Amino acid sequence: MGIVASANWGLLPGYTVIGITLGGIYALAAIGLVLIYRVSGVLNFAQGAVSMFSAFVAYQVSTVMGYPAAVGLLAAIVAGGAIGYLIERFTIRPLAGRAPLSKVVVTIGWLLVLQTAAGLIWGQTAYHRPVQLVSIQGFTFPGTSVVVGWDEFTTIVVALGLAFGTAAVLRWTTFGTSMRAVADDPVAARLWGINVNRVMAVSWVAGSAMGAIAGVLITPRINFDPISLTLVVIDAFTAALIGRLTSLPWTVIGAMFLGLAETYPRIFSSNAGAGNAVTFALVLLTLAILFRPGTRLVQRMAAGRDYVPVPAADNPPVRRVIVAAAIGVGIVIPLLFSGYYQSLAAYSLIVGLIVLSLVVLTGLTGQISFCQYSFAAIGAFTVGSLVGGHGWSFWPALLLGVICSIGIGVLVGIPALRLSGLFLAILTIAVALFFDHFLLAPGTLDSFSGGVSSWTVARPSFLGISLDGSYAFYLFTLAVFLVAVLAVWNLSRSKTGRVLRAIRNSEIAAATSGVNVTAWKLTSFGVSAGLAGLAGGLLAPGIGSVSAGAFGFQQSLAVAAIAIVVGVRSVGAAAVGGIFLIFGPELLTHTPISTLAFPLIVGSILILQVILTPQGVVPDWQARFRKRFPPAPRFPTAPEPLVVEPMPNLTASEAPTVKV
Amino acid sequence: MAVLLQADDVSMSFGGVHALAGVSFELHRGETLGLIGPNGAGKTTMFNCITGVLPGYRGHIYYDGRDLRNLKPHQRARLKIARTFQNLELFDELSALDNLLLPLDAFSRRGVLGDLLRLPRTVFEERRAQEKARAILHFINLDDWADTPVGDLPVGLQRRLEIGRALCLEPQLLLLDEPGSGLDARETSELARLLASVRARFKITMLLVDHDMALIMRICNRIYVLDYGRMIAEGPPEQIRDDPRVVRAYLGDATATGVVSTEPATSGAVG
Ligand SMILES: Nc1ncnc2c1ncn2[C@@H]1O[C@H](COP(=O)(O)OP(=O)(O)OP(=O)(O)O)[C@@H](O)[C@H]1O
Ligand SMILES: [Mg+2]
Repeated sequence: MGIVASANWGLLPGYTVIGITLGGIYALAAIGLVLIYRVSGVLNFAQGAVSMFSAFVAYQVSTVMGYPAAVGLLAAIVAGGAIGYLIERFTIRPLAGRAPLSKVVVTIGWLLVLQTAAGLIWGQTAYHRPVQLVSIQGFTFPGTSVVVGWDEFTTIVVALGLAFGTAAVLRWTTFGTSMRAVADDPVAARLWGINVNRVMAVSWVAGSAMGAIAGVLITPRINFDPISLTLVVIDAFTAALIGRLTSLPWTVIGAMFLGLAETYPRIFSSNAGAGNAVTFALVLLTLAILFRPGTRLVQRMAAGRDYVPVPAADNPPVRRVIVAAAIGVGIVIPLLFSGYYQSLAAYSLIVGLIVLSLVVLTGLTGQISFCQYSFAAIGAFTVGSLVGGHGWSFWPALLLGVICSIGIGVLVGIPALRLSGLFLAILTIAVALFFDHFLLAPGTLDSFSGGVSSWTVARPSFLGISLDGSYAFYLFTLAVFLVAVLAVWNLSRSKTGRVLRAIRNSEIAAATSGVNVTAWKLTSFGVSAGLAGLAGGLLAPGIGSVSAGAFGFQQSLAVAAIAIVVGVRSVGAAAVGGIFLIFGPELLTHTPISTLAFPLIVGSILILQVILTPQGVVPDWQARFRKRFPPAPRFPTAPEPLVVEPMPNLTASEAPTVKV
Repeated sequence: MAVLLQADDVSMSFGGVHALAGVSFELHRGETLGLIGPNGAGKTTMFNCITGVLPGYRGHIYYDGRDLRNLKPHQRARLKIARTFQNLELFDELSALDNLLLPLDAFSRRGVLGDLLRLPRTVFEERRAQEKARAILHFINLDDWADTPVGDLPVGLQRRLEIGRALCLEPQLLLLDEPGSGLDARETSELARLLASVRARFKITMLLVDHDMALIMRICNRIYVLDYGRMIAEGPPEQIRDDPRVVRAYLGDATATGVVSTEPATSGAVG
C-alpha cells in the first residue's frame, strides 16, 4: 500500500517513452548478439564491451575532436565492425571444433581487454559528455499530452528499422540464405560451396556494428563510462534469451519489455538498483521457462566438449618434496619483506581461496561461475555487520558467514541445476550484478551492507595469540589456506571428487549408477560458496574494513579468468592464481605501465591461454614435470587374469529354461 | 516363477512419433529375455522408461511388485536395476577403475565432511570399494587398463567396462542395450562368453537388446519382438525365428538375414 501510495503516477507516460527508447537500444544490441550467435554459435560476452569501445570512438571524434556527431557515429560503426572482425578472425576461428564454452571464455577475455583499454584511454569513471546525435527537442504525441524527444523517436525508428532489415536480409537474400545454412550445419554448408569463414566474419562484423550503433545511442541514457556501457550486454542477453537466442521478433519484443520493466520501478522507488533486480528476475524466469533440458537448443549447445586427458600418474615422493619446499618458502620468504608485503601476501592467499572455490565448482563439477565474489561478499558482510555493527566476536561471526554463504550457494545452485555451460555463465553473471547493483548497493539493505559507509573489523586473536601483526596474520592465512587445499585435495581424490567428475562426464550414466545428481550438484555449489565465504570472512580483518566496492562483478570476472588461466583442474593452481592476481598489479607499480592496465593483461593472457594451452598453465607444467619424473609402476607384476571358463556351446534348447 | 519386471500398457511419444504404443511384457526372475526389433522400434525408449531416464510415460512399470512411476533414476538404481547404453556413456576422463568405483561410491553413505577430513572410515571404505572394483575389473579381464582414462580405450573394451560398471551395482536386473554393436566377430564371441558367465556367477536377470540374432538366439530363454512401438510377437527363440510376423517386420531391414536363416551366423561358432 505504502509503495503504491507513494508512486507518482504522473510520471507514467513519460517513463513509458523512456522505457521504449531504452528497449529499442537493447533490441539493437541484442540483434547483433543473436546474429553472431545464430551464425557462429558463439555467445558474445564482449558485445557490450564492443558497443562501449565504439561509443568512445564516437565520443573521441565528435566531442573531443569536434566533428559533427554523424561523423562520430560513422567512426563508431567502422570501429565496431573492425573489432568484431579482429575477434572473429584471430581468436574465434582458431578455436573451430572446440567446445562452445572455450569460445565464450575468449569473448570474456575481450571484455576485459576492451573495458580496460577504454578506461586507460578515456578514464574509468570520469564524466563524459554523451554523443547527442539528434536534438532532444521533442513533439507532443498526437492525441495525448506526452512529449516525445526527437532523439527518442529516432532511436526507436532506427532500432526497429535495423531489426526488420536484419530479418529481411536473413530471409530474402542469397547471403542471408547462406548465413542460415552455416547456422544450421557449417560442415554441410562448406560442402555446398559456401565460404563459411567469410559468412562467419560478416556476421561478426555486422553484429558488432549494430552493437556500435546501440552504444552510441545509449550514451545519453546511462552513465557514459566503460563499466556501465559494458554491462549493457546483460540486458542484451536477457532480450536475446526471451527470443530463445534465435527469434528476431521475439528478441525485439523482449527488449521493449525489458526497457519498460527496468524503467517503471523508478516510479515507486528511488533505488537505482531496482531496475537491476528486475533484470535479474527476468533472466531467472526466462532461463527457467524457456531453457529446460530437453529443449533442442540446449542439446545442441551441450554437444561438443573439450576433452582434457587426465595427466599421467603422480609421483608421490617427488610431490611431497616440492610441497614441503613450497611451504618452507612460504613461511620464510615473507620474513624478509616489510609489513606491507606481508599483508599483501596474506591477501593473495585469501584470493587463492576464492580460486580454490572455483577448483571445486568448475574443476570438478564442470560448472562455471562468475559470481564467486558475491559468495565471498556474504561471508565478508556477515562478519562486517556482526563484528562492526553488533560487537560480536570474530570467530562465531566467521562461522555464521560461512554457513550463510553455503546457504546462498545452494540457492544459486537450484536454478543452475537445469543449466550448464553458457546459460550457467549468464545466470551467475546476473547473480553477481544483482548483488553488486542491488543487494549491496546503498539504500537496499544498509544494516547488512553498511550503506555508504564501511564496516570496520579488527584482527582477532587465535587461541590467545594476537593476529594483529602482519606476519602473524599472514601465517594464520597460510595455515587456513593449506588446510583448505588439503581438504579440497582429499575431496578430489575420494568419493566426492569421483562423483562430481562423473557428473561432469555423463549425467545420465551417473544417475543410472545410483548418483543423486541434484544433491551432488547442490553440494558442490555449497562447498564452493562456503570456501568463497570463508575467504570473504578472512578478507574483512585482513583489510580491516568491508565495503561493497571490493566485491563487484569485475572482481568475480577477474578471478574466474585467472582460475581458467592457471588451470582450474589443479589444486596447486589456487596459490599461483591468488599470488598472480594480487602481486601482478603490485609488480606493475615498479614499471612505467599503470596498474589499471592489469585486467588488460589478464584478458590478453586469457585469450592466448585458451588458444594455446587449453588445460591451463599449472596443469601444463605439472604434466611436463610428471614426464620428467615418472612414478614407479604401481604393480610391478600384473596378476594373472583369471581365465573365464569357456561357455558351453549353448543352443537355445539347452539354455537354462524358466518355467513360465 | 516370480515376475521381476512387468510393463503394463506403456506408451511414450515424442511429438508425433509414437515410440512406444501400449507395450506390455513380463520378465521373470532368473530368465534372460531378448528384446528385438528393427531400428527405431522403441527398444532404447523402453529402457529409458524402465530406468527413469525418460519420465512421463503413460502406463505402468512394476518392479518386484512396486510401481516405479515416481522414482528418480538414481532411486531405481538403488532398487538394483542396472543398465548399459547403446551409445556408450562412460565417464571418459575417469580411469577404468574409477568408473567401476562409481556405483560403489553412489551406494556408500559417507558424506562430504568425511572426504574433506579423510576420516579413518573414509580410508577404510575407500579400500574396501577398491578391492571390490578390482575384482570386477579382473572378472571383465581389464586389469591391465585399471589406470587408463577410459575415453582412450577401444570400443570393445569400453563395452565390457560398461557391463562391469553395471555389475558393480550388484544388480538384480541388468538391461543391456546393444552390447554387441560395434564389435568384431572375435569380440562378439568374447561378449557372449562374458554374458554367460555373468549369468552363471551373479544369477542376474537380464533383458538383452541386440541386432545380432545369433547372440540373442544363443543366450535368451525367451524373446519379445517390438515393431513401431508395439509388441508383435513373443516366444522361445526357435518359434520367433520362424514367426512370419517377425520376418515381415524385418523385411527390407539389413538384419533380416540373421532372422530368416535357420543356421546361426558366424559368431555362433563359439565354444
Ligand atoms: N529423446 C528423443 N526425442 C525425440 N525422439 C526420440 C527420442 N528418443 C527416441 N526417439 C524416437 O523414438 C523412436 C524409437 O527410438 P528408439 O531409440 O527407442 O529405437 P530403437 O529401437 O532403440 O532403435 P535402434 O535399433 O536404432 O537403437 C525413433 O523414431 C526415435 O527417433
Ligand atoms: Mg536403440
